[in-house]
Amino acid sequence: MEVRQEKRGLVEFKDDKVFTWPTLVAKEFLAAIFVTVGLLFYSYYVDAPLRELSDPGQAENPAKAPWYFLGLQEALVYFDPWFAGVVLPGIIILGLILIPYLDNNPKGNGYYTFKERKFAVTTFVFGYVFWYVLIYIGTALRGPFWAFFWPWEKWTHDFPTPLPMHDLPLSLGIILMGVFYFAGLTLPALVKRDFFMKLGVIRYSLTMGLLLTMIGTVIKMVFRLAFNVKYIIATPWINI
Amino acid sequence: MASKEKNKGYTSENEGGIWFTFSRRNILTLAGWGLFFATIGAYVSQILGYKGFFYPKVLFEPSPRFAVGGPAAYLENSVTMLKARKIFIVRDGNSFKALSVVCQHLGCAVEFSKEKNIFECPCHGSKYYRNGVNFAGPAPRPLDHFEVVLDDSGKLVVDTSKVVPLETELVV
Amino acid sequence: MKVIPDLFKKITDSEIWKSVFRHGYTDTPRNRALQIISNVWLHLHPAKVREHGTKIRFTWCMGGITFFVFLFETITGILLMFYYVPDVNRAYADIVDLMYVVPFGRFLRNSHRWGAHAMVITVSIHMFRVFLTGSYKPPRQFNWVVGVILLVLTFLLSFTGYLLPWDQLGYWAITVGTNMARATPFLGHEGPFSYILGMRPDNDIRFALLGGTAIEAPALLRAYVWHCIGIPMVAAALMMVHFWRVRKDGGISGPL
Repeated sequence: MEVRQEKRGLVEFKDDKVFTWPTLVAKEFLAAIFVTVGLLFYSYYVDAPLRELSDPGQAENPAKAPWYFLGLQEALVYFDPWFAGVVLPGIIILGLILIPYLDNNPKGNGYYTFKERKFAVTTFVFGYVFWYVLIYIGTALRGPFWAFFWPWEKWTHDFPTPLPMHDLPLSLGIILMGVFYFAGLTLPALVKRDFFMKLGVIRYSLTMGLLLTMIGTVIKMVFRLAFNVKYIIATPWINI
Repeated sequence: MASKEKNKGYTSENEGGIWFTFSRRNILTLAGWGLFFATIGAYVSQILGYKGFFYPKVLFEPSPRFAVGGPAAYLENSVTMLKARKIFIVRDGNSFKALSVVCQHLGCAVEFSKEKNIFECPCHGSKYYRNGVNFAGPAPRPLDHFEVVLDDSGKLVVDTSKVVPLETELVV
Repeated sequence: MKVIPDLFKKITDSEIWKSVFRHGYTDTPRNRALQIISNVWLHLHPAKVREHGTKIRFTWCMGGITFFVFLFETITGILLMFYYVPDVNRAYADIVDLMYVVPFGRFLRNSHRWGAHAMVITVSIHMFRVFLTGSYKPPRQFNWVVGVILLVLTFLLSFTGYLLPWDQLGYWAITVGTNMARATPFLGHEGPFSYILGMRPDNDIRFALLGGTAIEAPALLRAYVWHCIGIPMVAAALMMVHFWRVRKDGGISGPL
């Protein structure tokens, strides 16, 4: 039986290319088999969790979101819900979407390299690891009433009531925040002029704005843990 | 000229796009596209928009106003949780208050800890004094206090649709 | 004894066989290309790929595995739908039935649940790999954007599925999750500046998500529909775009 493609002959390919069949397809097939076998074995030995019937009057203690959201739930300890639950994830998603448009370094396209894109890789890996550290804390180290327990401690309901927290004075908070963002935006531009020139004003301010927000989130957490500061900026309308 | 353009479809005169050349044909094109997007927009906004398809008009939810029994049903100086109603009845001497069990942080059900005499939230560790004022954890404000009244038959009636100031109490 | 080879040849030369399989498996370059080109499923791939793109140590195979797990979840999910009814009075009992009564039900539910976790992990590792190889750089910027949206959709898929067993775990996880929507600035009734738009519990964005002021029957039904139909359809559409763009933007990224 004749097949139509036969008459056309083969298209010319570059020399470094190999046939998809069977090189790639075989690997994909094997990967699919391994994943299936792994999943099925795991499913055979470990049951999916199922607690008792839902009861609106009796919260789980501790009540935890699915593990991949526990980073956000952990952030909820340090921030108001509008920030930790809505604005922060929004910024993260927006920041991720913007990455290709902010990173105009032509090097490192399509191969592993750290030397040629130190800033990009460091920033991303830091954020990525930080996200998983928060998830780890939220999953493993938070016990009843979301109290903190080290891995070697037993979860109990009996722990000291934490000290009351205080807010920074409004003026100090605004000054701190202003200085942080102002210094964070201007200093690197002055010290590393070529970094600034390469990116241009818009890319530079977006990149640094996102980076500073990420660092600021960490700093706020340190403030809370070390100095019992509840809000850096506390106003009747909005608290950070 | 016009007919020639039509045949060619795309001429140098048109290269700036259809947006800035207001010839008769372009006006009609713009109007067509405008109508198209307006229709789609109207359709989508009716589904996703405010008070649209996703906002049900009739709710099958319990009434916010309900009786919780006579004052004598609650011990003096006690905090009683009415699970199904999601409220605490706090009695101090002869004063009654109805506090919401819903944590002001993210809506978990807080629990009353008798030994410490405080409310604690299991989800993120917010803590409230017995009077409902928050003092630790991420909660931004005190627990809601609901209106409590005594009806004609001498029963306490709570209305969870009416939030009252913290100092409000019903003295029987 | 030539019976078996003869029989085999008879079958493969028959009209029925040839109507299904267009070409034999003689190992020629032409046949290798045709394997891909003439197969509707495989022609997602180009006939030839750059060699480094087939190396596990370069791709970690995570994107492909994510897609595979998505298919796995689709199949197990459809099967679970045969027994599960999204009704507050039945949902929990249906899951218990699946775990203890329905033949093979426990196994299917387990693998659906663990598959969901696996998909979240693989998709995030895939993103990590794509970043480290700089594969979002021109001309692949837009495909990274599609990928980020797919990542969010994966989270949402898993999140909506969490409520369906209607047990304490899911109920309170979804309570915490959706109460974040309540705190959305302007649009949630407890968020900052919500008074400008006059938001109340019964008209804000959380109300639109739950179909009520609390997690009750409408919320369960909505989670179910989003989980089974709404989000998978959007995700599948975007996956097509994602894979298509991988090809059209020059195949798997590599050193120039």
